[in-house]
Amino acid sequence: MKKLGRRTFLGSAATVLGTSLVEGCESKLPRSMVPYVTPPDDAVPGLARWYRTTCRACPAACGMTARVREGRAVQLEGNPEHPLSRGGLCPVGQASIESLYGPGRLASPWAHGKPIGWPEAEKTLADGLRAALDAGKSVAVLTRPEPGLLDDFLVRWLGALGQPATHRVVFAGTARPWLAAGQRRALGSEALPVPVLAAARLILSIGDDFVEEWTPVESARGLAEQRAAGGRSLYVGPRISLTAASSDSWIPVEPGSELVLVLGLCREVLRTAAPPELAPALRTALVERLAPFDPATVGTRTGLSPDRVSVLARVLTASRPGLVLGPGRVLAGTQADRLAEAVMVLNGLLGAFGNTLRFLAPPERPAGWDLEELARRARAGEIGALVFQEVDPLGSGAGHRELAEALGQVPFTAALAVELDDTARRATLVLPDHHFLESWGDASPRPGVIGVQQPVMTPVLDTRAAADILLGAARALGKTSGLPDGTWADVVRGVYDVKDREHGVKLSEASAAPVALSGSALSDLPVTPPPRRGPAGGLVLAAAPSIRELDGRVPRSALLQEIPDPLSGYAWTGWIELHPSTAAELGVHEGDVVALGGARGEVALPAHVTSAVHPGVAAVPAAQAAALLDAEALPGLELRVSARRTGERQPTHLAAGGSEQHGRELARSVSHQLPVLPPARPLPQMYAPVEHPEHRWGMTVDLDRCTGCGACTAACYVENNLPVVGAEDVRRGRSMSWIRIHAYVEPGPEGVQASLLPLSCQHCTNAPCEVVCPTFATYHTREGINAQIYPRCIGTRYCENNCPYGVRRFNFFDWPRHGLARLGLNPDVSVRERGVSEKCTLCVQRVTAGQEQAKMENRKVRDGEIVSACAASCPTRAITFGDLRDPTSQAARLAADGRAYRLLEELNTQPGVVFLARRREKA
Amino acid sequence: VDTREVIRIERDIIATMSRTGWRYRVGLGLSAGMVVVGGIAWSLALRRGLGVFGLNEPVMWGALITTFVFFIGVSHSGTLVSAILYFARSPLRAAIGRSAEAMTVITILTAGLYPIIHIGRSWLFYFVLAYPSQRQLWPNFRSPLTWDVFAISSYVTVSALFLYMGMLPDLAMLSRRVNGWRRPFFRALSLGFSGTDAEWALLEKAYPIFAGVVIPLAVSVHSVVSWDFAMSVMPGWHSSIFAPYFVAGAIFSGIAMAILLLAGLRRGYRLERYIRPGHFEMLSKLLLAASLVMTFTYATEFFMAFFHGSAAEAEVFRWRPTGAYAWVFWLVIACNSAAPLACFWGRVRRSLPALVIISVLVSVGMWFERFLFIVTTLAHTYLPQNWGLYRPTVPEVLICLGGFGWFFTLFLLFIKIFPSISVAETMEREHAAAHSAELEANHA
Repeated sequence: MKKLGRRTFLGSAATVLGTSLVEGCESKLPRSMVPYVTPPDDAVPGLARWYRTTCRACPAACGMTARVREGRAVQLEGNPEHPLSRGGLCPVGQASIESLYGPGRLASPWAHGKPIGWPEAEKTLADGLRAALDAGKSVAVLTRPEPGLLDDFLVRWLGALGQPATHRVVFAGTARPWLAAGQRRALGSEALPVPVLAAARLILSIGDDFVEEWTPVESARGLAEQRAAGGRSLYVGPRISLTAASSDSWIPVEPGSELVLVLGLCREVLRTAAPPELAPALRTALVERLAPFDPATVGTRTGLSPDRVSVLARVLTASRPGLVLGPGRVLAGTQADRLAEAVMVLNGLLGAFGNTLRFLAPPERPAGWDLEELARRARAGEIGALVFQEVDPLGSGAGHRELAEALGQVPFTAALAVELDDTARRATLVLPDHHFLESWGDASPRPGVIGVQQPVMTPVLDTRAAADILLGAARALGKTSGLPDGTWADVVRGVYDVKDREHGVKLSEASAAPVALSGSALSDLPVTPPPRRGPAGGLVLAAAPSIRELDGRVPRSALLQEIPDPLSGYAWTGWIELHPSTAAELGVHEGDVVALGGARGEVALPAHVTSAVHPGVAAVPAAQAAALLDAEALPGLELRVSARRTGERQPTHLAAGGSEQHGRELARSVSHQLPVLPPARPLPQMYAPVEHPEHRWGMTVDLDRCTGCGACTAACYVENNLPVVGAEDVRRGRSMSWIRIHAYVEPGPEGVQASLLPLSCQHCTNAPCEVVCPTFATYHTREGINAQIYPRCIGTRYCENNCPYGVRRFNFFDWPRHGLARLGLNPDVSVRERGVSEKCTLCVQRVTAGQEQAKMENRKVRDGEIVSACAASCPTRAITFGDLRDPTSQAARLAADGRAYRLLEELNTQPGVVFLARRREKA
Repeated sequence: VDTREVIRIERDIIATMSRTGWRYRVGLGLSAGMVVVGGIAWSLALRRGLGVFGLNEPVMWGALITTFVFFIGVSHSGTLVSAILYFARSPLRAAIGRSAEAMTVITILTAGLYPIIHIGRSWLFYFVLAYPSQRQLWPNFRSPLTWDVFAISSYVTVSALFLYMGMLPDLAMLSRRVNGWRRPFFRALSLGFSGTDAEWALLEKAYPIFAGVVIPLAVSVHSVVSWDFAMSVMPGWHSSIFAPYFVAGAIFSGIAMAILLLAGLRRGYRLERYIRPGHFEMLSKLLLAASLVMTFTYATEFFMAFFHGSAAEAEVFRWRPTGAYAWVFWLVIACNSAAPLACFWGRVRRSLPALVIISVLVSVGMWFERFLFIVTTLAHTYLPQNWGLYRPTVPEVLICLGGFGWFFTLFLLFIKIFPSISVAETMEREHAAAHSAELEANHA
């Protein structure tokens, strides 16, 4: 018999592992908290496996890679092959590991406020549907956007029940209907616009917070690449959002005058540099239509100087191809259609079409009712049964009031949900769906890109796939015509083969749609100031979108609540941004709780006094702003609200700190023209220099790329088992995050500007924390990592005091971690007990794993093979992990860049984290 | 010396040990009660974690470390003053030496509790001790905290021996005069000292060695404690003036505490004969001198902060008198720099109530002075986005008060168990006085 040699063994092991990658998750594992006692043959305890899938935490549907240990997903990263995310993952995506093991997950079906068994639930569902059909009433499905097989399935399922496709109603929290409307007016086209940020020499955002909403990962990456190629970006809007902070300058205009500004820019561009392809007739018409918007008028209305308007237009014409984006949700008022139209015209005049703004033929999907139509029919008693498929229309913001009222007229409602949300609470029957990480499916964010979704692990709880539940009901009713025979998994596997699942994404050529400015563009311009509702003299309400609440919902995730908003510093609560002058008029100080009164009600939130918001504006996170509104529509700077002090105080921990750098040059910047910092002088030192004989692990952080999204923070929480400490302790300054975004808001040469600085342990060569530790609990490894040995730490906290960067964290308590959440712990990282100090370890577990892998393969570690969790998740690749000792590594090359500097260099700590200064306009 | 005089001295001093008035009982009860309450507060921290304190991200050291430094400071006066007085052959020593030395030992025992209470895992405090362990790992000798352990343990050892040596003749003598459990106890402690010339000669030889060692040790221990701060890189801490500044502060607060204790002893035990107004006047002059040194140090710190050009350092010193802790700053200036200036007036120096008030103010001021430099530095470090504030919580305050309770309990027990005034030295002094009077009479 042939002896089983090492090579043969490794070969077959690799084959087994390879097949397991695609089929492993089908193993019939027992449904218990510990996934298995006897592991399946292909699972090696202690070895991680990676599965590609598609993130469904928000409608963007980015690619995702899940790291699975012993049958449980423990960490998420992006899918490098996915054209949207290209390896990055936003904080909301990161937090889906938390929702997977979330305390709010449904463990069984519910009816009448108590759990029931599946057989009873199946019967109730079939009975409810049968009753509706027998009564001759409609069955409708309200679903989240399901751009893929499930959408077809829902239509077919309704068809099997004899219902038309219009009964499939799509509820999208982040829909921006004004963009389509504006495009229709400007272009007369329904084509799908796809902005190509990286190709633009200049991006002008008209209140479009593109790094925070819509497809933030793709846009942020596009912006980073655009900047790296020397591009510039400008932001017009009522406040400094993260997008504005990531731009070169923030141009604050009088709230509501954005349309006038864009029209003025159109006029100037048309006058000085009309594109040759523009039809003469249209040109003449546009010149005539735009005539009233001369720089002087625009200046008066916007509060900018006429010169500034002309200069802006000149900059736009000089930097073709340009790209104008917007309006975003913050400007989503009654004028949003016209603003979108003007933006599209400006894009046309700047030659963006086909270059920086491509158009694709839209996917063909059967249209359904809109939400208003559904609510109307429900109130009229036409709906006999309504199925909610992964939507929470009643919990979004303050809820969809009309639908909530109409629900009383619907005899049977069933909610397919992962958690017991507000909608599920009101449903007759609640059917627990798999979490998306446990589900089969697909999602196509745009034509030509299909994200394939496969379960990365067996379900944790007794849940079923939504489609299987609906299939079961149809079968029970005997109405299966046009429905598939097998299970939902069979359906998906039938469409996407093993290779598709390995890649996690299926790409095809999308057909471009030709567009041109329509002759009737800008034909009716009612340029009156937008209506201002509410008390005269009140504040203009701005609803600020946030990356933490992508679809407008207050995030349920404790993790996302815990990570503070980088610009305001508030966590676990909303806030009201007020300009210092406005705050002074109201007598409000930082942290005072202010009650804003709107048409619908009152919202009391702590005030954040900052010059990063236009005077007279009260900017509130969109989710909280919704509570002030009388309709689902966003206020779009058209609602005035009253403001009064409540007398309470609820300051953040940061309120004690400064939002200014006090001239300390922490988040540094260089000019676009000469992106070089003066070299640092080497400082004398008493001790012999520290040697790193083999490696010196470190990171570079490119401030030019960072958009402050917080994905690094979220990834670090998940990777390193960081505890969520809760609102009270965060406010007391006990948040455990190992990497934080520091934000400084200061006056700059072109107005107020924000600088972002992601700060983790700097892994100093001369670390002040190391020398002061009496027990050697922290020490410097030969490879440059400032390591922490938890069992040796007695908690003197001297290290924390002596860290000039303030990045060490202390376990004030044994932070609670309940039930399922324990399953999501990364087994490679110890959970710290109370009383010990901790901080960024440079993901030492990943470094070790990478080195072990290299050793097993008898080779050196390859550059890029080891990546820290923060760097892996960063959507813009702002963080680069690598060996700074190896001059050929990407990190070392970046560290040798002219923009490179180390934080607090004058202390001679010689950090292993190197920052690359941001490029900015310099005075 | 006439025998009656000897008997009277012995009786007075033995009386302090045997007479237990209601004041003593109430005092001891209150002190012990404070210890119990402080202990309960500590048990809360042990059970739940240090989160019950007000500490937070930038301010990791607070009221407990403040109290630690305060007690280390107080400890100074004792042994140091006693040793200096010994070399100066000061008549004051006979009166205050014993209680001052006892105070030193007790304050160090009190101060030593705080680092243990304050650390995150109190049950592992022994990790900082240099002992040959299975892990074959010594403490980090570059860490000032390790130096602290050595400095403080040496100081407490030498101080305790100094106290004990000085007490030997008394113990031997009293073991024959007292009854009850003290007799065998004192006899055992007296190590067979019988008062022979040879024994006295040996003691006279050994005593100056201890006194000599204890003075540099006292200076060094406070310098080392100051290095906990000065060796860091933090603005407002990293300063070469810290060691002398701490020593001066320690002497300052120690003298204030000595005045308070002596005033209490004098009143409580009717020791007016032994502790005289002149003694207080001498102490008040020392207090004034120390206060002037402190004021000079404060001024120097501010000058250096703005002179050496670090933005962070300048910010800390700009913030101290104007920021959130401005009231602490001005309280410190009022108590430490302004109040002792009253000692320029002879009437104040000779007025015991006035001196007691000033000493209380100085003690309060010195506690807050430590609080000020610890907290304001940590609250305003290099990165403005890390700044924060700190306020002690109820458990912290109770633990701090418990420390004072612990101190007073031990002190009250000490004066009840041991002679609080040196019998031998008092007699020696009386003898010398009588002798010189005799000589003068003969001359005449």
